[in-house]
Amino acid sequence: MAKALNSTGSLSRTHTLTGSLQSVQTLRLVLGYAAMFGALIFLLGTSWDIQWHSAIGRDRTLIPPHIMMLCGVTLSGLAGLTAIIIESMWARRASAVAQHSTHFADIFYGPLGAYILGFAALTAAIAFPLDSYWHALYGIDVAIWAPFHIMFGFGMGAVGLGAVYVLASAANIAKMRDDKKASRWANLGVVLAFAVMMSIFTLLLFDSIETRNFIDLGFTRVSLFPLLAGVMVTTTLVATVQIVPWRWAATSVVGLYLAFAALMALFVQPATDYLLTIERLAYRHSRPITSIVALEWFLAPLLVAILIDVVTRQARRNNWSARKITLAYVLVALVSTIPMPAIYPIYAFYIYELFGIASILFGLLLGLVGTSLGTWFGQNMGASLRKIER
Amino acid sequence: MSKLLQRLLLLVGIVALLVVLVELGFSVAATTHGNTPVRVVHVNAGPYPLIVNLYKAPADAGYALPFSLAPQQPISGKLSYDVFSVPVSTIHATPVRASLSPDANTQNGVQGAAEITVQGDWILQITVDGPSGKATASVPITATAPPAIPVWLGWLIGLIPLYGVLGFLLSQRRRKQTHTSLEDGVLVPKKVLPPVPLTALYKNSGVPETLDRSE
Repeated sequence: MAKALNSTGSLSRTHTLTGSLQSVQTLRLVLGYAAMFGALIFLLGTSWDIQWHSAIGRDRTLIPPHIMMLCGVTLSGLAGLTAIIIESMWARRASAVAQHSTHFADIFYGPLGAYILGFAALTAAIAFPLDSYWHALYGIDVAIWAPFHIMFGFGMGAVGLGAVYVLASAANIAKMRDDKKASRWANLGVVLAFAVMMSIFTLLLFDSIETRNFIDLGFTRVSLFPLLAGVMVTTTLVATVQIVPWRWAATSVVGLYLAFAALMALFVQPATDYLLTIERLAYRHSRPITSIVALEWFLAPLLVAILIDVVTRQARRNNWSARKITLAYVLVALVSTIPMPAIYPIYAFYIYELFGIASILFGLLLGLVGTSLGTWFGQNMGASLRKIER
Repeated sequence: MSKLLQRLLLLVGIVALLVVLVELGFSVAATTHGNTPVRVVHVNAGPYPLIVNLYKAPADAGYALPFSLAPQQPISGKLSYDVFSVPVSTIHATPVRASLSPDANTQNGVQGAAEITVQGDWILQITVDGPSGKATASVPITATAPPAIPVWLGWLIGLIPLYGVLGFLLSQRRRKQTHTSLEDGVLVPKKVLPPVPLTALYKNSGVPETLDRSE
């Protein structure tokens, strides 16, 4: 009898455990998606803001694109904060939750990604008034590569990274609980978050293909694009194939990355026209036909994603060594270091004509450094994300 | 990460959040009108003599400049206004339309806030439309900004998220050190014990007491 009662108690405790883990998994799924959605709102708002600045000029501090960007920052920050507050409360009552949470400063429990979200959203929020200050000092036509634009954009790109971590932990808990439906949703969220992260970091790449930003080596000039694009694209796609168990995981990320550009092309110019009429403003030059950002979106990541998916599949089939797969990733990702903006895919030939073969060779060298670093970061991140439950 | 560093980071985070909230408060407060104007300007917009009350002089660049407008003498008929803050040609800025709302205490008067985006000399350009037609007046204003920080310091601060992300990515290396074998083309744990599926717990006769403190 006592044994039977003990057994019932054990079953009850097991139900509590599974119940609490299911709650944690659901919470992380919902808040991970919310943070990712916040970052997506920021992406669209920034694209609209670039259009507004280029076509109309920087006028009020709280123009609609800025409000949209700030809404994205707020939503992501609140998602991270909510995850930490709720899990901290749960962890005090259920040790199963505490075991699957990251403990911080002896007070808080929460998924690791939520702390990244908090840090990233906070830096982005601080960057906004600092950017207004910078504009007040140096004027409205400050380039994208200005200190507080980088702080704002990089902060929100890191929000995408935080969302990846939150959703990956939900995916791993779902896998452990054998909850296939939740696992699918979490993996989809991871792919979306990677795509949003890559898209936001792409905004910071545009200035690297401006010839005025090339580094002067005396005998030639070199763009930093191959280094930066190599790190960004390779890190994202290599990490993706390590954690998302889909055959075309990397291609899915880049497919969404291109879909976001299409969304900008559809949304930004009509929204600009609409507000221009309401606010009785005028275009500084001529009316743009579509989103400037969408026109400059880079196409090379699509080729890289397909190649990385193929390489990963071959490696799994033929049981490649770690060194061989790393080398293959570094080499195929080199394609991402070729600047191929949608509006002018043969931009690399233009650089060749302007600065000669030396510029291209130095670019290739920088690209190799970028894809090597990216592969290393991506493999480290992927290995960590594959087991993360906290 | 040590507990001390965690608490330090928490403290920095709280201070940063407070700074953001205070800045938000300043931005909202900047648009509100005080009781007494700091500068009163009398101008003629064609046939309409106007009083322009500025509630901040010099204006703060990057913030709104609150002002109010009213005719110097009562005018029969209705006046409508359109106000722009216009940068003088040496400033890298574009004209900005001011927000306006009727002043309940003054007939034909309005209150507004003009955004001054960049430090330097600006003009408050007032266009009045009334019974005697349309006319324009200009009020020169100066905007100042806080002292400039060196550009290198701007970059040092601006790259904070980059330091954070790089530090985080490097910390992932330590996690990876236990993941050195290759399985299905991806790196997998070598020394870490596989997680026990929860379904296995149902099969056991008991659950470890440490799993749930609430029981």
